[in-house]
Amino acid sequence: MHNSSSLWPRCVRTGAIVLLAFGIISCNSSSKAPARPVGAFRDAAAETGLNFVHRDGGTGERYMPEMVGAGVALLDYDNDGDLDVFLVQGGNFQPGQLKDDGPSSRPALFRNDLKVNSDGTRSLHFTDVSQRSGIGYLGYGMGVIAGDYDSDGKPDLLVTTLGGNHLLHNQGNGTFQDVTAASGLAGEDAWGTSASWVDIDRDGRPDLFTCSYLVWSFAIHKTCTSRGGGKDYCGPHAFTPARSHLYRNLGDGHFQDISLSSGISTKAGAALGVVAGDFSGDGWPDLLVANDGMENHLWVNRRNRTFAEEALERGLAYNAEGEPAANMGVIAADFANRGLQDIFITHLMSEHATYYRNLGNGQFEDGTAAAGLDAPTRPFTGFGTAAIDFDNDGWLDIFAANGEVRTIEEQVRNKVRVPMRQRAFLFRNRGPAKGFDEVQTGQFLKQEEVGRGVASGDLDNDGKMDLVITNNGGPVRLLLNQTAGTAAWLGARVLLAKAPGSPPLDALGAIVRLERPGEPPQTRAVATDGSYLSSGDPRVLFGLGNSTTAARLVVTWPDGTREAWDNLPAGRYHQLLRGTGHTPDAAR
Amino acid sequence: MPPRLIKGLLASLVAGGILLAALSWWWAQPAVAPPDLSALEGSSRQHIEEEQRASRSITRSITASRTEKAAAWGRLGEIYMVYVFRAAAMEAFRVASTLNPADFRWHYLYAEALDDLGETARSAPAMADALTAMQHDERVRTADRIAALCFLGSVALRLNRPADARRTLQLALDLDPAQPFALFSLGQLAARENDPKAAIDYFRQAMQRMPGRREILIPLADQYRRLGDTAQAAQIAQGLKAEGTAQPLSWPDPIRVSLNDLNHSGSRQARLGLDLLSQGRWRPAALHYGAAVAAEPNNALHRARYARILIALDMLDEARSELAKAHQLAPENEETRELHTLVLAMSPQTFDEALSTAATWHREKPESLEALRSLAEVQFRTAHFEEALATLQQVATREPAETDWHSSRARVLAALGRYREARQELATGLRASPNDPTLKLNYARVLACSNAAEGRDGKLALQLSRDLMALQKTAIRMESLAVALAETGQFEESRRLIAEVITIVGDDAQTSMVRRLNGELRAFEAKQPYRERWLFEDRK
Repeated sequence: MHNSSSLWPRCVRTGAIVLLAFGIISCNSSSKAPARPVGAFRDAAAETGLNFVHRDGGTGERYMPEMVGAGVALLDYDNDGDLDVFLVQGGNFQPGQLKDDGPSSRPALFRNDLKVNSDGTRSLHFTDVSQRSGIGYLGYGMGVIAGDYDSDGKPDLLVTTLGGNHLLHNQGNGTFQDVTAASGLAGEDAWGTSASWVDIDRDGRPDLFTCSYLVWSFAIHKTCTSRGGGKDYCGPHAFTPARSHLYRNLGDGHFQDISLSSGISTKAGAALGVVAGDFSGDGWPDLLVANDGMENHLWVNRRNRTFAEEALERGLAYNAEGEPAANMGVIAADFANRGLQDIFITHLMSEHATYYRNLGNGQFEDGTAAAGLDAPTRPFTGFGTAAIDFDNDGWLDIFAANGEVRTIEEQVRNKVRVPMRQRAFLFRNRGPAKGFDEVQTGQFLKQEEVGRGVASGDLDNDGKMDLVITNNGGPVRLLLNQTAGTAAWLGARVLLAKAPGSPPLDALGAIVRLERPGEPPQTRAVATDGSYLSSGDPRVLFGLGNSTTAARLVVTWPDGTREAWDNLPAGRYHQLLRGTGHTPDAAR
Repeated sequence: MPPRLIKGLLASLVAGGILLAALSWWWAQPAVAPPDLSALEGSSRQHIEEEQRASRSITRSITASRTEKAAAWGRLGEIYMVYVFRAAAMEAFRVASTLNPADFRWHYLYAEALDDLGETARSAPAMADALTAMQHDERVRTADRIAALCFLGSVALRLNRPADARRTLQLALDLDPAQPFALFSLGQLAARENDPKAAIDYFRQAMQRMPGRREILIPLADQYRRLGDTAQAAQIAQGLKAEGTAQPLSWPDPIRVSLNDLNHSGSRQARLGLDLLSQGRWRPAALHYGAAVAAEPNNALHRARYARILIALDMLDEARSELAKAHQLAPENEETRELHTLVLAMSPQTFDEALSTAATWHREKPESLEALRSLAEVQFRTAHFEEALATLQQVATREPAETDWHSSRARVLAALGRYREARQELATGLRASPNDPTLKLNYARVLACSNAAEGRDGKLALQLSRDLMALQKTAIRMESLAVALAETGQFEESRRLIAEVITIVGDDAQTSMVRRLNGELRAFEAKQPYRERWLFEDRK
């Protein structure tokens, strides 16, 4: 991104409109700085044994759920210190045929058998443990979110489908048990999409928010027409938006549906993405819901298990053009290292992705163009997205998987299979003054697919963020971060125990601040939510650039209390268990 | 060697050289890879192939000038552009603008083609070239210059070049001081630069040309919030949440619009028809759908939709004929089946056939909600009201979140003279979906026009109609307001309003609507409210 105002005077030609306009362009075109060579991501799915193909079940009827895709979760289900991969599956998609028809209609669980060799190199390999996990057919799957709902120290899974949720309890022996009915989550017969574990009442137990997309069934299926006159998928406006759900975790393995009493289900929305965070600035977790083709919903926590919808009032409902865009994937992250969570939302082709800047007073503004993200994101229909510091320079970058939702006529004419393909994008953050630059190196960033889910995490524990991407009706991709360079890093798993001696769980909702002398602080949220239909690494990872000096981490726990750890060496992950640090005000 | 032979040899050498030079020249002509047309409908493919042949005959001609060749490539680019062969269009315009840089049109369209492809940064220099060429071209209209400047302003905004955007947009305002896109964009720039007062000023100016546009109201409300005036922000934002699909604010682009007629495809005709339908203009829509069917005779969807329009225009025989062909093409298509049963239910002679056809469909496809809805519709139209209510109850049980069945049930109840229940049905529906405009409209209609007093409430009808009008002014909403005004005794106002609606819809509306509007006008002229048994089938 280049600010052209200083270049302008050189270009001005007196008087004529024409030359003025010409000057604008020619000067700017020539002023583009050469891109700094950066490393790349390499797809290592096949070579590491992560073999999975999503089945959209498409028959040519263009049933809308076929093109929504499915998510992926990164979780350490066996507590061996590395991230395993759970992949949601679609399956057959015809009236009366939504049923188990073998392994290709069931989700898959891959165990990470990472080996760190004596020379420090890593061998990453995945073993398909789907069958022994006990996870069977769950219906036509959509999203997934990992979280330890029963505080037993083992991450569980919540899977959303076209016809309701499935809560899969991690039994600690490599198997999962479907406890949906017993938990009280079985009543919801909605088209579920993304979800979030969020402790809305600060009682130490993660509550559950599930997005519902549209009221849809085979009976009310509609077909729309492509530009070429063929059958095509309809947009969300062809159907009635659904109402999302909020469940209170009662702590005894049961959930109470508080959708109505909390206010959440008072407003319908075509919800595809959700991210929790303190967006109002009062220390309590709020929920930002990305709605497809309509205004977003910001549910502000009123601290009594009720929420008020304030997206319009806080500048998050619409983009700067006043348009209710097709909001899909959503992430919240401190992109400007100001200690505030900004928002990034992916959108439909010809709309731009939106970067909402947090103004610090509970207000947001659309800062997309100023961040250099307007024109470069318009050619893409984005879904899953991730805030990752891929080059560990201390600034969070943006990745998104893209793929159209309607057929691309040119691809139809070129006889492309699944003609909705687009390449992914990666934007490098050069700091608030310079904004974002697109990085186009690496084969993967040239490859066109129908990208949907994205989960970010450090799969080989090398301190570089990797990505897992799901493709609609296509194979999963494992993008190993191959970025060259010697940038230092520091990671942490942030844990709290329900009671002394009880197993610790990831402190979802905690904020971790990295402090180093002479460097801007960085903050990261402990979260698995955000993106689209997917669930990411709950650990936090900080890029330290060229500095390898020990750092201080200050954790703000979900209940608002703070705790610090000093002199943490770079180049490794630290476990920050609540109660083992000191108060931040104490001397370092 | 005899001199004659030498001469002959020399002549042959010269001729060969000329031939060789001509061949090299011919091969050196710029090439644009022709797109694959195999997936196109026949008439479109034929059209493009004809254009390709015509273009080739000029671009490969030894005698044609560069200007003529540029025009041939440009024309081909236009054809590719309207049929959405973006890459081929861009290449053709690139060649045309290279061959004849003096013609602004090829630079202009090259810029737009690049932007269509997402090549935003590359599109700007091309549009700047267009502006240069425009300087010396008498054909150029002010609107073309404004469009070019707005395009550059938009590009500069998207590329985050605020100073360039400001200068270009100001130049557009020099040509048209009230150009709304330029004003709106300058407002956006001011907002970006943390100058809410200036932003508000620009947005308000833009609103003068485009009043009520939510795309302006939303950022305007945001700027008041920046100033801390939350009351003003809330006032502006009021009503924004209810409905309305936003269209990005843009600028008139006469050059691009002039290309539209080059597209002869059935799908374009259908799109044009659809646009007209959304404006309530059924007769011209029928012409476009007729053209769509002619261009693409094997497209069952076009035929079914054409038939739907013919039904609305009371052209039932023609509709039957179209539906029979559509059914042949796609026997399983639910839209065709629905329309087929509907058309049977519109003539008393075929009532029995309508009932048996709908029942058979439902029996064959018990899972189909369309079949169930169609059965209810046929039962209603053939005066089997109690059966219709029972069928609609099944619809409600299966899809409680849908709202249409409330209106359908209320209509049946009204037909049975149970107006109080009809009111309750709509009120219940509206409580569940308070922002549903169709429910609101139908409720207002019942409250204003019911035959029995128990169904009427003029004040509430007036309030609902005004709510709808505040969101969006349409002919049907104006009509709703008119009948509500009449119900509250404001006959002069209602007469004036309904006369305006009649002028707006002209003879293009559905036949039943035209009939009803004229009936309403007669009633209001006689200072009487309008009464009906309430059939709002044309209000969906």
